Amino acid sequence: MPRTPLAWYNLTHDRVRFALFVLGVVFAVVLMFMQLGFRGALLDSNSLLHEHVRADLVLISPNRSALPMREPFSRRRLVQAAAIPGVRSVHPLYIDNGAAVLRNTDPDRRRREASRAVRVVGVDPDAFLLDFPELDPSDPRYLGDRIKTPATALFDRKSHRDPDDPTRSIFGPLVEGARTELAGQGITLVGGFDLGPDFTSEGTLIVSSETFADLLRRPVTLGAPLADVDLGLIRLEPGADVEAVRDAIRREVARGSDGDPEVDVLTVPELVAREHRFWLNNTPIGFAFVFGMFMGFAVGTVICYQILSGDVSDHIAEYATLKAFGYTNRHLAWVVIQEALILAVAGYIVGLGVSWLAYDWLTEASAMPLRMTFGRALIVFVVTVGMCIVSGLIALVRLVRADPADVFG
Amino acid sequence: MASEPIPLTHAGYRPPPQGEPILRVRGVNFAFGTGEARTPVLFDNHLEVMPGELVIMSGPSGSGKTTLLTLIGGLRSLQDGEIEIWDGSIGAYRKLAGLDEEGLVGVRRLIGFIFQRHNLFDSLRAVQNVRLARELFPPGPDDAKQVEKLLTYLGLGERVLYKPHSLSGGQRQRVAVARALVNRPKLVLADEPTAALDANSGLAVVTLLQHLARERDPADLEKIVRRPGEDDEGGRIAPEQAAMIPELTREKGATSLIVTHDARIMNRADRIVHMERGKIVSNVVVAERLFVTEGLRRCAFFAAILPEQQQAIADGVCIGIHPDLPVKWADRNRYPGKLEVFAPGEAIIRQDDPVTDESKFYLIRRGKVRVERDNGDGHGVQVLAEIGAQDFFGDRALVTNEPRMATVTAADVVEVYTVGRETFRQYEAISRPFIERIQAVYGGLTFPPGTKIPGLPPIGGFGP
Repeated sequence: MPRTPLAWYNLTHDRVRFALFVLGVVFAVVLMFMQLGFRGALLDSNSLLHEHVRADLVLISPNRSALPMREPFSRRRLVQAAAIPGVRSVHPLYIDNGAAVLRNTDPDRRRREASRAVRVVGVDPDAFLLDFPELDPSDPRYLGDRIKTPATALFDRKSHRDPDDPTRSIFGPLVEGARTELAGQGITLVGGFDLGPDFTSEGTLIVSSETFADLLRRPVTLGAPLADVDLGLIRLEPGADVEAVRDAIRREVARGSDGDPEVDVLTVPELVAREHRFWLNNTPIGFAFVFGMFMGFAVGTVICYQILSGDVSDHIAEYATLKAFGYTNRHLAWVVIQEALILAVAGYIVGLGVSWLAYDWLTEASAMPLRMTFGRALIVFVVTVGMCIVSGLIALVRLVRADPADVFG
Repeated sequence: MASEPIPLTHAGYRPPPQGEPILRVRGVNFAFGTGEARTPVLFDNHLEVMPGELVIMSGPSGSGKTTLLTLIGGLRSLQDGEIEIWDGSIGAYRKLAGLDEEGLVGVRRLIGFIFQRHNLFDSLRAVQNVRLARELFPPGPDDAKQVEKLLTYLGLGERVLYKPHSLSGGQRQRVAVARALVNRPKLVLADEPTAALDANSGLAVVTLLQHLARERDPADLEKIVRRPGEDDEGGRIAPEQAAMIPELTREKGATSLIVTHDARIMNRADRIVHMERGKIVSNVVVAERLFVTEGLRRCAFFAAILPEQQQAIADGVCIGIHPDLPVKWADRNRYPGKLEVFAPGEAIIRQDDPVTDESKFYLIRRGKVRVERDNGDGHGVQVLAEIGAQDFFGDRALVTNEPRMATVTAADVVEVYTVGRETFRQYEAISRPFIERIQAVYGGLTFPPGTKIPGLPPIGGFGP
């Protein structure tokens, strides 16, 4: 005779009530997913460009805690790195973050808003430095050749949407063939790619290094406009030991004349982590969303406690009767904990589904990268289970106090 | 009650030693609250319940019945005194005094509780509510069938899958009864188990408890089975129910303590315990009371008084042990003024002893005595008779105030109920016509057994 699943029956015998219980937990789960999602999206959005970098190692100025900071280093370091054994190739990446203004050239003059700063990335179009199909020479969607033409650019199709017309960007019409002005000079948009906005830029243009130099550096930099690079991308020989090469670069290249490191040598994940660290430590994002998540936990705990405590109260006489028969507090506590787990799992499954849909919708609507990662799903599951168990444990106080003698007479 | 060991088939169960109770309550006091709010509710209660007894606890509301029951059931911690419950699985008594919560839980598992408020889980079907209690113990091979049979016997065969909200109050109560009995407990504590039941259902429950207690005369069962065409509500059980009893009650030895005001089940008790103001004021084994009353009625003196007076005298000498069970030799002096125990050859009264305030009337409970007289005619001592259980002697001298006419000696171990001279004087004083009538009967003479006196039953004694 299988054991009677009392916890399941107690929770589910009234279907409507059970649905409301689960909805309570779903609310908390979705709240936590959203907080984590926004936190992650805000962090992820700031590292979107980093994640597209195709390199084994990246040289970056040690003073550049975050990419939007203008802290270039000398191209000579990159050239020196090319001589290190194991290094196959080196490539400079130029980034102008917000200094260049893209003019809004909406044909409808009434809709032309103020011109806005845009991030511009200068690349070697043949080197496939950023992981976009439009820059992959082997991909049919390759558009790298087009930006070899001076004063041409690829635009970010996921640039910040126009709040009044979500089908358009805030820069006006970003379409292939559009003529506009960047930093006061005419350019032609020759294609698009998908990236998305972040904290400091509402859109991104990719241009060739030469266009970057012509439009953004030469007017303000005399002599060698490309002598300072923002990121140095290093690709290694097949089979080369990344750590060994990194040590060699640090030893032979990274030191400045005063002996202090002039460049940091990072892998792409380290670069991403560094960016996240900056935004977490220097902005309220971390606190705000962790607090938001805690609120989700607290709200969920209260909801769950109300459910379980109410359930214990409703059945206090029955539980006292079971105690009189010889059931121990431990056994009955397990019933309540099982109820908590059932609520946690049911609420989590539904909450996960709702959050997944919400992530998709928000990503689509806001262009923020809300990602349902396994790690995030696991964190919320563990927190949800913890939340329900904590509630169950609090509700147990009432159960433990149930006096079997009270059911007599 | 049978004096043979109660047959028990429960694997590993060991019954209490012969003559030992399944439940012993000694000097139990209890109070609610502490300090100035302390309210004593139980005072120096003593009780012994033998295996297989059906005990009814009666008394006015607030007399402490329920509190005592909760203490016996391990639902409250004892404050003063001791309660011992026989645990057949370990073959020893469990003492409740000083037990911690874990120990009390162990005691509770020995007991089947039937509560007036049945407290079934609304979320569970009838059969699941019963199974929940069964799951406290390791599963058996035919548990599911046993649960269904029990419910079927209790008239719920077609409602085993109903949830409590679809059952009537009486049906829910029967589910609670099944839940209490499903683990075949050897001690059942019940609070008004038949209060919500109709006559037929109440009878079915009590009959089940009776048959779980010990073997019963099949003829007694036959008397309560409904016959074709008989009124459905007449307090009868159905033939199908009667047919199920042997299988459901294969294991005997279940003792039941029932708090009830239901007059319908009073006459089925083996023992009636009456409480007033927190104290057990009477503890009567029905069979013993019947035994003593019948014995007294055979004596002309007692036959002449009113039945309720006979009853009062009987209750005054009853010791709370079924007459089929011997009193332990060690307890021979435990019942002064009620019962005396004599070794073989010991003289109980002697010929020519004068009547004093210490003289008594004797009703034989167990054993045999020899009645002898020396007529002084040189023929030596003459054995007049050998008499045994429910026979009596010593009445004539107390009525006539003449010396004892014969010597009475224990032939084997003899237990005798005793009624003091004071009781005789009390009834003499009540009614002059009564004493005149009695003296006419006794007349200072010795009557052979069976002598008929007009208006009185035959004289059963030998008048020493």
